[in-house]
Amino acid sequence: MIHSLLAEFAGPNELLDAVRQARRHYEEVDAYSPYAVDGLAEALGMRRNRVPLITLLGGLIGGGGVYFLEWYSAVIDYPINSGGRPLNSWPVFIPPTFELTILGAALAAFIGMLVLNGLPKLHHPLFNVPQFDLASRNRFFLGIRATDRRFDPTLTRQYLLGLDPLRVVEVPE
Amino acid sequence: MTRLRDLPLLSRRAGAIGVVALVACIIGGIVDPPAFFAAWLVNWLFLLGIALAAMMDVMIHELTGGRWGRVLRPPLEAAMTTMPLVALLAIPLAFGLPDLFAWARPEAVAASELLRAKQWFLNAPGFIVRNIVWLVAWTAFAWALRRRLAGNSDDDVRARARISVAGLLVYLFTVTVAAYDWIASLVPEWSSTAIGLRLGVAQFIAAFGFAVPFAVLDARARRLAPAITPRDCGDFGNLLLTFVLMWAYIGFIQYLIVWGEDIPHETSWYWPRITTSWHWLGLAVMILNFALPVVAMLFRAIKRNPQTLALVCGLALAGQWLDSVWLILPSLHHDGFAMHWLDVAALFAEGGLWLAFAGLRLTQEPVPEPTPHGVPAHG
Repeated sequence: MIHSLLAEFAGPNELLDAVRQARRHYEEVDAYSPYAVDGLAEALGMRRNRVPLITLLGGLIGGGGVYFLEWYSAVIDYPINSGGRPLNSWPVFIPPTFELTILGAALAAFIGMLVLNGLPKLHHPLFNVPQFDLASRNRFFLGIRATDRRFDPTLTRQYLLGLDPLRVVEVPE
Repeated sequence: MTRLRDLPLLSRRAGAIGVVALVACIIGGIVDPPAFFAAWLVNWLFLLGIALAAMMDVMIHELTGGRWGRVLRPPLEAAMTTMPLVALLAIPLAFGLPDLFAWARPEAVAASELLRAKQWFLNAPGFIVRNIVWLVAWTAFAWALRRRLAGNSDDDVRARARISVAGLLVYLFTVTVAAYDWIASLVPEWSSTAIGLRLGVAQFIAAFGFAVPFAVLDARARRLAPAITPRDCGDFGNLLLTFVLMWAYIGFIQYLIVWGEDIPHETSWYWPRITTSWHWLGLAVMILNFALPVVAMLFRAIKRNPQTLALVCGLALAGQWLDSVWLILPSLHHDGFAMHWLDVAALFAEGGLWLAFAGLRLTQEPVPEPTPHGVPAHG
């Protein structure tokens, strides 16, 4: 059972060119590099994801929740006349509302990101390939998933070799 | 208004409008001096803000660098070099102090114990001397920096860094006292330690609101559209977001403290601004300078498109003009919204002359070319 085929490149520009070419034939293309490569996300066709929406919801829940808490405790639960000010003293409720909006949004963004990308993960088939630890040092990898509808173990390997990589490795499941 | 491609034309047309409006202002000023001086102060503060914060932006860029400078430096430097004109435009105000400030009216001072107590600071000679000091200092910094911009020798770069450090520090101190002089002292019993920072951040919005639309229009008129990349716009949008959030934060905290303490001599500033029809102006200022930019900058499609970003920045600039009105006029007309045709005429007069002056400087600017570092590899 094959998880994917990996092509190894020496530099970011080679990887970027290879990704652009491979994306014309395959959909499930992945790229692994030791650092962020400018333009790689666009070349991979990474489009919208749900993190912004989750962040917005987290912010609304955080801010709305703490404003409700302030309003409920000051107006309903324990109303006190403080120097003639209104019970619902919105100006002083704003700072905690602001803080909790940020906190809620930040937590939602972080947790939402982890949930959506499936991290943390104890193991991944890529780690079956000994060379793959170079992806965090000085090598750049392009992967094509076996689940791609145009994937064929022999033809895809030939295709990847045509991209002029240092080598092509099979990733066992 | 004009084809920006032909910059001397910009200067000619803006200058012509400025002179015509100036004549109207002089006639209006003879008929109604207090309205003239109020209008002149509102618009002078507005232009001072653009010129000063543009200089601070240039100084910050000298010290930190950054991709945003490639496109924005030409308009910011042009705005910075208008400092001598802005200093000259302040001169008429020296003759209108009694029309603007209660502390400059002897009968008002005689009648008020508070004004007598504050007279060691709030008096006409002191005010004029202080403002000559600020304006000469700011003009000297603009001139010194401008002189060193032409060369790029190590000596020039070091000199620019030194001037920038000194200029930023001097600005931080002087803008505080200047804001107190021009804005806070209109309501002599009121004081706020935040008003200087509040004005300073507003000035940064104004300079950005001038520079971004100007750069975008200029690039389009000179067919440089690719020169401003979506990534540049993303940077500009994030900077704008920083400025408007800072502005709203300082403005709100000042309000929160005054609201919480609820002491008459502190609420006097907000009284006409909130309990009368002036609050509609305050609402417009908050929408243009806070709500609209913040919401718009959440969307990458708006932030990374030069046209929409320039529109948001242009609206923020309009909001800054309204903010200048909001800072001054409610302190003079307590009973409700009261604007004079001179408020607009003075905008055209001072703004026209200012734009003509800035345009002269822009004609000397080379076309901003994208550098290998400025354009993303995939662009």
